[in-house]
Amino acid sequence: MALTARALSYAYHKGGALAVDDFSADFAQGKITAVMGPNGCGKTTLSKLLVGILKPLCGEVTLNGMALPGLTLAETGRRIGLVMQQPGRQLFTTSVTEEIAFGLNCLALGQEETDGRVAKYLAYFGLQKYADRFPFELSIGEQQRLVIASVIAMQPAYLILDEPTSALDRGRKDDLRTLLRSLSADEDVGVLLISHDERFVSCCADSVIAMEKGRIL
Amino acid sequence: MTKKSRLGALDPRPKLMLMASASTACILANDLIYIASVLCMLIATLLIGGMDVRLVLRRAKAIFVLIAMLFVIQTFFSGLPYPGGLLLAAMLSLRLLVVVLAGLILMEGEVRDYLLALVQMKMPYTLAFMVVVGLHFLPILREEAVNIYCCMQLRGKDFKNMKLTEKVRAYTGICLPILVGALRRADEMSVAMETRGFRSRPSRTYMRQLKMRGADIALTILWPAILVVLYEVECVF
Ligand SMILES: Nc1ncnc2c1ncn2[C@@H]1O[C@H](COP(=O)(O)OP(=O)(O)OP(=O)(O)O)[C@@H](O)[C@H]1O
Ligand SMILES: [Mg+2]
Repeated sequence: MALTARALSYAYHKGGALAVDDFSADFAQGKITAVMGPNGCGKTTLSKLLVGILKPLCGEVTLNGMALPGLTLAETGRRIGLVMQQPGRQLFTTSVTEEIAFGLNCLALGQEETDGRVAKYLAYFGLQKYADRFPFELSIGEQQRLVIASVIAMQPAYLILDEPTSALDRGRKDDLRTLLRSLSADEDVGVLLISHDERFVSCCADSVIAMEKGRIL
Repeated sequence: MTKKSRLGALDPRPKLMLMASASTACILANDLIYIASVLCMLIATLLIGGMDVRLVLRRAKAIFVLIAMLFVIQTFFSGLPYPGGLLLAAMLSLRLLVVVLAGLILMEGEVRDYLLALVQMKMPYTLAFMVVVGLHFLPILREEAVNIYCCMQLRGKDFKNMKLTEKVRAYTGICLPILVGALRRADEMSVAMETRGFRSRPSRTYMRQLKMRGADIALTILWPAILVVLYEVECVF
């Protein structure tokens, strides 16, 4: 079972430079794969192609053998969780609790299950004392933890995290690493970790893909 | 960089003048032939100026359709006897067309040039700057809205299979973060600008100065002149 990219290419402007260029890789379930590379090499673009926010110029993405274009974003989101790069641009509810519950309600989980998961992830990410706060009032690191919590709470089979540690302190990074390791080992989640944080990657990822100018090095 | 058309290479001031004078004249005038001739002149100017007609049609398609619809509605529902309604509708539609096409002239040029032009025409810099920054940020707001829309769907919200009332509520939900984000950014930007010296002195310097050349001056004078002459000629007949 894997999330597979086959010969993906993408350009933001017709005839312009390719942001992702002939990219092929398998992201297996139960494994943590890191993607590293310099600024502007196309990591964020790749993540958006993998969930179908952007449509590739050529090539295709398959999820467990099924082509992605057949799915709506909502259906993809249940299988692949995406934590985007800028925490402040992914929050859209009026309280921290609601933010985590949003996806769970969309999955139509029962009240008990929803409350249980909300409490669990609030606690894990140290957000209990902000439970009723307006997400936009949190610090950037707190927002980042909230976004990660909201996506992971949906328990998708794959997780794509775009620079999830950019605003986290060392203790929070350790927490995230422990969580990702246990998700991949115990729940068979496939994790794609986009990061510049070499220390984090080296103690977290099973394998590393190096990217440059949209290609695999 | 796209190749500059003849209009694009002009100084922004004649274009501002053209837009202002043509729209004003057609809004004040109450005469079909006058408005039609101004429209013809405007179209000629755009064509000679090297504007990409296909691009214009694509960009302003919705507005043209709207004008056509207004024309039909006014023709049939003005309540006037036969030629009256038609004439009134034609006049209103042509007038709108003039305003739209005159506005499109401004698209042949860069926003920062208009900022400079406004300043050199003695508009206070702060005001001109705000107008231009506002224009620049509109597409960014759109992009943010799309981003939130994608995020909501990825968290499982299915916009396709939704009742209308639910849909309205969901779309309103997109506005909240956009609004909060925009307000906050405006706030932060103003502080950042002041820390970098914006408005710390009563006057400031500019990297470039706009210069009016022959063609620019000619166009600036010619258009209002022709508009007035046309009007006088109409009055005589
Ligand atoms: N919306 C956009 N419109 C046009 N070009 C874009 C857009 N977003 C990204 N690009 C360009 O595409 C290329 C890849 O961008 P991308 O955001 O994928 O890089 P990245 O690897 O995520 O960089 P970073 O490490 O800074 O996050 C860059 O050259 C960038 O300038
Ligand atoms: Mg990026």
